[in-house]
Formats: sequence, C-alpha cells, structure tokens
Amino acid sequence: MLIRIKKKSDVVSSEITSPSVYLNRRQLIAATGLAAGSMAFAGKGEPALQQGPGVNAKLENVKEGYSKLAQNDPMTSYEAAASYNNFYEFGTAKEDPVENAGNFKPKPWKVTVDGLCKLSGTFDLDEFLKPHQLEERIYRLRCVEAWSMVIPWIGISLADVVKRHEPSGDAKFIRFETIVRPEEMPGQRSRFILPWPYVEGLRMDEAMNPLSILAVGMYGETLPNQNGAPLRLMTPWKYGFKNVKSIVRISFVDKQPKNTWNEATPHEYGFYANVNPTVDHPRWSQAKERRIGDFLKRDTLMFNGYEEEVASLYAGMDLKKHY
Amino acid sequence: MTAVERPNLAAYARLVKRVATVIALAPAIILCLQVIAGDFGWNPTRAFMDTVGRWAIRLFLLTMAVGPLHRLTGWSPWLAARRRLGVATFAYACVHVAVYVGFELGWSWEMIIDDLADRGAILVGVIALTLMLPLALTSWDGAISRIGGRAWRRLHWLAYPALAHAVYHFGLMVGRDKREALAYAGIVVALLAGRIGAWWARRNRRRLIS
Repeated sequence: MLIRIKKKSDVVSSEITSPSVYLNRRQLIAATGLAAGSMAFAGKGEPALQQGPGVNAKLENVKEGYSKLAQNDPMTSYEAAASYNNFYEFGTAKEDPVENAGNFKPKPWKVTVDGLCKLSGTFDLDEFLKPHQLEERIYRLRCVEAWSMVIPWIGISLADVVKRHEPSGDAKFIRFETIVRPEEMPGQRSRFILPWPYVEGLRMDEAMNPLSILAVGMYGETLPNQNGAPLRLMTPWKYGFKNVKSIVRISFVDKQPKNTWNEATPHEYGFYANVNPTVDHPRWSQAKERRIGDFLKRDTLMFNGYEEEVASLYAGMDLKKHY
Repeated sequence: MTAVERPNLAAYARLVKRVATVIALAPAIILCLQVIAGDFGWNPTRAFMDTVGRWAIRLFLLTMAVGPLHRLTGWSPWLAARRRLGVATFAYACVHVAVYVGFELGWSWEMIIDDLADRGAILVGVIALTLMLPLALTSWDGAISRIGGRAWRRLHWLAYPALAHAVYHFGLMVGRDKREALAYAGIVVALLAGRIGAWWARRNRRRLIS
C-alpha cells in the first residue's frame, strides 16, 4: 500500500468519516429485491445521510434518494473524490483542480435557462434550486480513462427542472455550458487544451430519466470547487466527462449540441459516452476499470450497472457507432 | 609533454562510466522515494507506469546524445557512458511494460491480444521495445567480437527507429497536452539530423581522399 504525504490543500484524515461508517450505511445489493426500474430507498431506521468532513457548508433539508450499489461498492473517501479530478479548466493533471481551484468563486452564481422553453431567464442559484427537493444519490462514477469511484451526491432531479421550465415540443436536446473565467480558472487561459466554454448535452429522454440529477453537493456538503461547484450534471450511466461542471447556462435546443470532447477528438469521444465494456477507447480497453483505492481492475458493467434503468433509451441503436 | 599533462583517457572513461551509473540509477532512486512518499496519488500503479515510461524516454534521449557529444568535442571518454545509459533505458522500458501488462491488463492474454490487434498506440510502443531488444542482447563486449564491430555498429543503428517509436508512442498516449511529447520529438529530429549530417560529412571526406 502506498503512503500519501499530505499537502496543505488536502483534507486531514481526522476530518473524514471513516470508511467503516460508510460501509454500514445503505449497502443496497444490486438488483436483488428491487423490482425492475423501480425506485429503491434505504430501509427506515438506518442512519439517514452522509456526514461530510466539514470542509464546505452542510446542506440542509436533504432527503434520501435512489441509490443502488453492490456489496463491493464501498464509498470512495472524500479525500480521494476531492483531490483526484479531471477538470481541465483548472489544469490537465489529476491534482491540478484541487491545487488551482482555490480562487474560484462559486458564490454568487447565476444560471441562465434559455432556448425552446416557456420559463426562461437568468436566475440566482438559490432561486433556481428553491422549487426542487434536494436528494442524496450514491452513484458509481466511471471515468472514460478506466478508473471509477462511488460518490454520495446531493442534487435535484433534472426531470423536475425540465418540467418546471416547460420546454416546447421542438426541444429535443438540452445543452449545458460551463462558466468561462480564465482569471479564476488557469486552464482556460490556453485554448490549446480545449475550446472553451466546455459544452455538453443530453437527449431530452436522457435528461428526463430519473437517474439524471443536477448536483450541488457531495458527502453532505456543498460541492468543492474542484468537483464542479456550485452546480454540475450527474448522469451515472455515462462516462464522467458528460457530467459538465460549474454550469451557467442550460438551453433547450432542437439539434444535438456539439459537446466539447467530441469536437476536440471525435474518433475518441462521442456524444452519448455511455459506459460500455464492449466498446473500447482507441487507446485502451473499456472492459475493466480501477476503482480508486483498489490495486487490480474490476469488470466494467454495461451502462455502469444502471442497465435496468437506462437500456431502453438506446433500444435499437448501434452503440458501437453511437459511442 | 609531461606525464601530468598527457590525457589519461582510460581514467576519464572510468570516471564517465561512474557518472553514467549514477545517472542511470537516479530515476530508480527517485521513483522509490516517490513511492515511499505517496507521490503517485490515488491511482498509483497508473501514475507509476507513466512516470517510469517518461524516464525511459529521457534516458534514451540522453543515451543518443552521447554520440553527438563525442563528435562535437572530439573527446572519446564520453562514449564510455553510452552502454550504461542504454541498458538502463531498456530496463526502465521493461518495468514500464511489466506494470502495464501486470496491473493495467491484469496478465490477461485476452486483453494483451486485444491490445495488439486494436490499439495502434500500444503497437507503436511494442515496436519500440522489440527494436531495443537486439541492442540490449548485444550490449556486452563478447557480442561485439562475435558479430564483428562493423555489423554490431550497423545493428545499433536500430536505436534511431526504436527511439522514434518510443517518442511516437508517448505522443499518442498522452491526452490533450502534447507539449512534452513535442519537445522530445524535436530532440529526436535534431539527433537524427546530426547523425545524417555526420554521415554526409564523412562520405564527402572519403570522396576527397579517393
């Protein structure tokens, strides 16, 4: 086992809830005992929600949401989830976001909703979130680079957001955009890295799937800057890069949005980015993944283990073509 | 000339060899310290593999710089560094591949075959290592006398395509930020130009003589 020297920006281990505490909570066994496609909630009487490390503000009025984990899915430590990140706006190395995100200001924050919808406009984040119920969802996160984590997110149902803003029948897709602040996000000072702003998109039925959330927190607290504060997408059956961070604009559109990674390297990254062990990345296999903390890799599950919930969205589609 | 002023080239060669040994072992020591310090972060096998691979390329570039250094300075003891650096390069490349096959592919033949069949970037790396293999196997004095100096030197020209493939492999494997790979590629081009230039100069000299 490797030992890790603490950096100043790291969370000290005394601030982290011990893994055994996580393990005792809501260990739901995948599929067994759950009706297909149904929503599962943890049994009553169990400790309700994740306790954070006290780094960021604790989130209140959070209810338990849908979490479906296997027995071999222990929660990733907060320290790992908050310091091993891909967030190229803060640099391309995994430790860059935690080291460079300190000057980022996620407050105050405004979100613009526009395009083919009735309720459009620019909203303060609080106002945007207010009509919706905060829920904790413990999801697997599978990065396209063949590593994965298990993270307790706190967010709102994306389907509820869509319904509230009343898109027209012509709105077939949702486009999400990350903020551009090169003065606070050093990675954005170079267009050599990626074309900014970072853009992602979902098909409307993907957005309406009950698994899709807009996350505002993790581990019981508001999101750390390096994890996409203050608002990010989380679609657990897709590779991590789909889950656009620090969202400032949500647009209802009629055409499939051009997502950043697909623009940058089209033969490597598609629009759908569904986790699929049978469709490899040109440079590596997607059949296996390393769960952060494990030494050897484990098998990657179709749709990251959320096949029951999302497979119907892609019925009849050639997933080798629509990668 | 007094005895003190006469350059004792053999002694200098021994010194150069010692320095080369230190340089060859330095990455291993740094890697060990990094492992102990936990510098490899949350995906340590992956980070370790990447770092060893980078060291192999840097040492390879250094090995290939010995020739030009000799040509430019006319000082033959430099050549004593070459074998140590070259053998170390091969050793680091082997560790890189062993970590890849062991921890990234989990020693799975299915994954290995799949890799060779489908992934050009991996294949380029395999070619680099394959080209290095005959060079490593002939890196002892007996080999030179057995196959003859001329054939040995010809065989060791394989170092150029091996280095080019190693750097190309690195360039293909790194993601969006290719600056480091491009810098290495620039050095490869310079080394190759120097080698061809030296060749050209020697050919012209021969023509003048004949």
